[in-house]
Amino acid sequence: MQVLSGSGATAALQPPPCPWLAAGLRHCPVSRDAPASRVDGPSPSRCHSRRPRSRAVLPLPIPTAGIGLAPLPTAAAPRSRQLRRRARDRGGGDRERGAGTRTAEGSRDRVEVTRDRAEGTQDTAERSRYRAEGTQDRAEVIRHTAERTRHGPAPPGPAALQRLPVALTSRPISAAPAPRPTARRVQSAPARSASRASAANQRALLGAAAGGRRREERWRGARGARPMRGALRPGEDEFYERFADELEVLAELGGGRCCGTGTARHRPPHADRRRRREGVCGRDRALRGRTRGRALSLLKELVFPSSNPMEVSGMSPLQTTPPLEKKRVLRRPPILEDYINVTSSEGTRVFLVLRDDLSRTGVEVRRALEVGPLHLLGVPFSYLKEQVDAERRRQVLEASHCLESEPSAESPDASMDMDPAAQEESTSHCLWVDKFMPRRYMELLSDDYTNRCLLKWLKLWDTVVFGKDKSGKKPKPGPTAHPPFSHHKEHPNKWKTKVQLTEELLEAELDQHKRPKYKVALLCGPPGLGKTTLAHVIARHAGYNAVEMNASVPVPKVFPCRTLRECSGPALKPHTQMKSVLGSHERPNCLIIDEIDGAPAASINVLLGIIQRKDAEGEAGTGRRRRREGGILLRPIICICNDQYVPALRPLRQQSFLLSFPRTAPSRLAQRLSEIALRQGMRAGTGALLALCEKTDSDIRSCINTLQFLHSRGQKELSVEMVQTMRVGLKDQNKGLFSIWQEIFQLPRGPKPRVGTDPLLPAQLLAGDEDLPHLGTSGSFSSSSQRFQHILQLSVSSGEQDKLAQGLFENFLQARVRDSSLGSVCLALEWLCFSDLLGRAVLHGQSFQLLRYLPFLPVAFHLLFAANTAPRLAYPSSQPEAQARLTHAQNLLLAMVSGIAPSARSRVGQRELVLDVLCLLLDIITPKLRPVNTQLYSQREKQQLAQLVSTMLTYNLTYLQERLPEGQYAFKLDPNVETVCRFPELPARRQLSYQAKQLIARELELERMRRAEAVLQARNGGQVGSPEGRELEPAETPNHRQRLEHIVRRAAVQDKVRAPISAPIPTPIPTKSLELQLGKAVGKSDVWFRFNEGFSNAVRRNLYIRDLL
Amino acid sequence: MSLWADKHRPGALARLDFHREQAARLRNLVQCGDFPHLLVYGPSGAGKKTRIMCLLRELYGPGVEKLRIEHQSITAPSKKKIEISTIASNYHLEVNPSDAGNNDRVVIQELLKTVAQSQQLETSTQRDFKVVLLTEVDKLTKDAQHALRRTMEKYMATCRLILCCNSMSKIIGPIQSRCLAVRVPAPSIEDICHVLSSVCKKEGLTLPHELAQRIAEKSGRNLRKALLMCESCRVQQYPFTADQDIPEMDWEVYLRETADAIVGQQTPQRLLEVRGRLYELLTHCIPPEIVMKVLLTELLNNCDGQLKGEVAQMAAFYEHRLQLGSKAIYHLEAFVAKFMAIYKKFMEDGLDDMMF
Repeated sequence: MQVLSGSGATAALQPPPCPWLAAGLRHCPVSRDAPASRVDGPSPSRCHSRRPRSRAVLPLPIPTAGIGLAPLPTAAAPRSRQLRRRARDRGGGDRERGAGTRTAEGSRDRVEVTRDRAEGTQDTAERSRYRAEGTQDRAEVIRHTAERTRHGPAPPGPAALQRLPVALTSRPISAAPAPRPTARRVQSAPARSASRASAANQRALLGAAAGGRRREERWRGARGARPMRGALRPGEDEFYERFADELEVLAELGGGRCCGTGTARHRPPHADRRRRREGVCGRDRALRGRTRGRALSLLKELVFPSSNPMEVSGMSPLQTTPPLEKKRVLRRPPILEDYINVTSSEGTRVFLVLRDDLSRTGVEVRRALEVGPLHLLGVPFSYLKEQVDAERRRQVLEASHCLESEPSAESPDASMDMDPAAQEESTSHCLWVDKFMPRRYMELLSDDYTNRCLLKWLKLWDTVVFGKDKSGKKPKPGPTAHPPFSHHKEHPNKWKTKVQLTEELLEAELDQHKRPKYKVALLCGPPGLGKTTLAHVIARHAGYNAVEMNASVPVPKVFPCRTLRECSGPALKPHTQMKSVLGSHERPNCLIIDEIDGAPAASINVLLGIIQRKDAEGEAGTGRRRRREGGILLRPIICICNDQYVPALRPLRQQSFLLSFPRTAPSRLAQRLSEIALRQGMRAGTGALLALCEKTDSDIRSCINTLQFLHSRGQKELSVEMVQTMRVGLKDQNKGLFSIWQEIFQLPRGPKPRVGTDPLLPAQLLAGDEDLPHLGTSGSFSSSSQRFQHILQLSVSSGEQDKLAQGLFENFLQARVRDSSLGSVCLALEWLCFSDLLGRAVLHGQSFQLLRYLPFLPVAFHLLFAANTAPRLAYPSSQPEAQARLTHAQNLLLAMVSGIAPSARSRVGQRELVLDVLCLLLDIITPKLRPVNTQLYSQREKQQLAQLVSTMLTYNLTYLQERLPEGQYAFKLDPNVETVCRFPELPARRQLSYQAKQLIARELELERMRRAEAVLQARNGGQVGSPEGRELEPAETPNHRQRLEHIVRRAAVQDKVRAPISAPIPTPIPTKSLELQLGKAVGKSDVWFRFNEGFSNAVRRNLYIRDLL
Repeated sequence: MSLWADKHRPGALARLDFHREQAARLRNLVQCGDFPHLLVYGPSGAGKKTRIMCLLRELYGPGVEKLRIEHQSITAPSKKKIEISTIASNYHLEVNPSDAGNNDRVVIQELLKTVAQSQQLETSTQRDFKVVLLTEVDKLTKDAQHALRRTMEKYMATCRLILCCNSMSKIIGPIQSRCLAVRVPAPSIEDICHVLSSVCKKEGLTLPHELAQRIAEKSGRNLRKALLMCESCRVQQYPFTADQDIPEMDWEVYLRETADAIVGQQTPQRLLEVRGRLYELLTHCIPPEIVMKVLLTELLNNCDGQLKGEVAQMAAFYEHRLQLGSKAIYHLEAFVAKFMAIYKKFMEDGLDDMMF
């Protein structure tokens, strides 16, 4: 290599922008001398490195040389490459200096160099970016060198390879390295990258490839408009960066002497680009672990020299004889000369002697070549440059496409047919889904019946929407819709089903405003079935202007937004009331609210308000008011949702014409898909399309998107295996609980391969299914482990483990149990217990990592209970039901306990109440009471009644009168703890009669009043009250004891008692007659008699007892 | 008063009917005017509360019997309001902290703090401490129990705790060691008979001894139950006869029928029926451990002696799980299924033996 010794300072500023160095000629032997100086060893590489440039310049190469040496290059190429690598390890950055040198090298070179310089300034910026990567890359490069040494080139050159070490150590290579056509060199790039790919060290591989790609991408981003040349720089720059240290050392070592030739830099940049592009492919190959990649590319190198990009210029390759050079590669350091040591990754170190380039071969050769173009170039150089530039541009474009659709490069010629696809894609950016969207009613894929129902509902609006303008239902564009209707109307006679119900809805009378009964149609169904499309098509079909609002987009003008209340009116009204003013065709609006299940409840309430409020106004009937308020809803609204059971939708659901979307028929979908595929030039068999349908659950959108995706990746054919192994088009499907239970309790029908649906499936399984004949026993294979995986996947994907487990618990006993010894049942219950423990640990101990074990419960159930027959499943309601009843019972108990008198309450908690007390207490409070008046009760009975009343009061029980649904009245215990303590299947306890309960209720009421009064009295009387009360108490004898003689006797006794107290004082009391006393006592007593004299009520006179006495 | 059980409850330690020595010891305990924290435990219906109230009356006089219900609302640190009602006299406070569920810790801390921080005004005439009676301590969460152990020491000067529970096993060691444990065993059959006849005498009824005996046996040595049974017998039919029907608790009858159903047939269908019955029991607020216990006794009555050990062991296993888990029905049913499996196997083996 030629280096200007003085150019070291400028080198940093002006990097030689030669891409070739980056491409392959990194290992330039270093000589720090003047242009003529060179290193013996790697000089062939120098020759090679020089040649392309000169060939690019020289239109007329020396064909004989090229032909004559044709077999050689294959052997020489790897070797020279290797040498180059080695040399690079020593340090190859002196190319920079060479850049300066080159200016002295003839006019043609100067042209080049100046151009290079111009770009070099740009490159310095680039380089700084790559510097960071340099250190890593260096390690890789060294490793690659070693690899290359080890693996050597492809078959043609093993001999040369084996000879190589010898040559390296002992003598200069005598056999001149073959001058190789550029094409070869260029083609050798893939070989190199491929061999790189085949290297054992994966990390290095990935790093290198990724690095290259990264670099290129970054570069593209930076350069933008004119990417060609600069793209090639990074490699070279990186090389420079990498070996900057060595270079400096060398510079010091060499002093005045210099080494190397700068010519190596002048490789056509596009070659480098090609190399890199190939490298990308090679990387793919490497990623796929195909070691034959290297061999392939080597083969390519040999076989396809015609793919030389330089041929574009119409020039045949130039081949010159490389100059003979002496080399010295020594095992031990030479004593006299300067040397560079090179260490391979295997640890062997050799020493390269630095020599003055006495023969100045490099310069001479170059000069010889330089002279050539001046005379031989048939075409102006500028023209050639343009051509080269154009070619580069094309290649960069190609490379970028290649990068974009990188993973698809499965076949070796993937990059070749990438182009049309890429072009096509760039021309048509629209999704197929939009492109092939049905425009007409007949094109709809969704279920016919659903379509018809919606259309018919929409037609119901005709009277109010179109009726005034056009007489009747003339503008009915749906002649297709009507015959089926009549046809359908006949059916319901046989089936009294949902269908009939829907029909009835549709047949229903219009309301007073001639609007249909349901103002809103609610379409619901899983995504991708074409609901929105249907709504649009039908609206257009029926002569409306479809106005779509997406409820989940929070644009302030649309319906569910923050300022919903204010704006929803304006947003809704124009759509529903006015005709579109701007449209040339004056079609009435039909509002389509999409994704309404995502709308907040408030917005749905607004919608409901609009529907209802105007109803009410309509009933009010005054047209003026209607007009002022914005009028009634006169346009149809179609709402679309995925989940009709969203709580927010509940009120709307009751007021809307509900249409649930059935699954699209796979056959129809497959047919449509095949049409699309046909039109897009894809080959797709019906089987594959059906498989696709099945995989995506008949999701039209997903199917078409998958097709387009495959198409854009260059797949021209769709096969069943592809669909099955493909991970595309899978939805994160959330199956309904019932279907999951069904799958758990039912054995899969037939050995249906469920590949691709479960990412958990090991790759080996997938491979097994890819080539079925190879495995042969796929059916049995899928029986256990695949079932296991499938169910596991199912249960993982359904988030409701708790519900799932409940459903299993409720249903597993109905499943057919195989063993009669209940073993499986016990096992299943063990599992349930286990999952319960897990759940408890998760919820109470916050150990959420245990959640991962919950999905195994369904798997266990599946393996235990799966049967061939379809199970009869019931929704697990018993647990929530039980919970509700438990809460109810607890509330009853709580109500009872809260009213129990404190003294009793401290003794009975809820638990005791339930376990010990309540049942017996209810027995106790149902004594046998004679159905007669209380007055007629015996003493004991009265006592019993009093006790009963007091007990009930203490325990906060009363009887409340209730009207039964039959119209009768009944007394019920309140709180009705009977439900808590009585069990359904036990013999009913004796109940009190209605009269008895009435009596007790009345007594309870009285007693309660009495007590309240006593409390009041005690409070009012304060301190006085209590002694008085105590005094009064003996006086208050029960009614039954208040007999006259008792009173008389007591009065007498009291008198006697009082007498001694008042004895000392002679009072007039004793003087009073006993009769009077008695009379007073009797008269004042609570007992008094009323004597009604006379026969009738006409003659009546009050007669007091004192009058009698 | 209302029920016999309430009406004839002894109000003083001296008038207790059984465990008299213990009553005497308790009297000695309080006679010096002070006593440590107490942990009273024993089966329900043995008279724990009665003894505690007698003790308090001994300590404070008849004032403790003037009870009132107070509703307190406590704010948890999480700003959650907890409503809890307490039964209080001037001298003591009774609270069931497990009413507050998971927040029992807050309840205990707050209540004890408020009670303990108010000093008695007249220390000359009154005791200088109040008593806080915590019931159903065995239902306390571990958190609350740990909170309790610090509080117990901290407020020792101004308040005494009496803890009341059925089983001491669920109370953490530190609390057990801080308390004087008083076990109130269930009364013996004779004790119950004695109490029954004395109550009947007070009511002016004559109770045949045989009937008393039968009631006592049927009550499972639960005095409260025995008295209630006796009273309901009285309601049913007054002139008592010795062979009179004794009303039973419905849930016990139901469980017995369930056990019969289990023993009668061992199929998944029967298991399904049993599940329904278990649900029924649980929704009637019968605690699952009681269900398990009674079911086990009923099953043991029905099954062969050889099986008893195994069945009991299984029951213990599943009850342990029941305590650990949260969905009682799974564990109960697992027990039933296991029993069915074992029983079925046993029966089939027996049949095989008979065949050969």
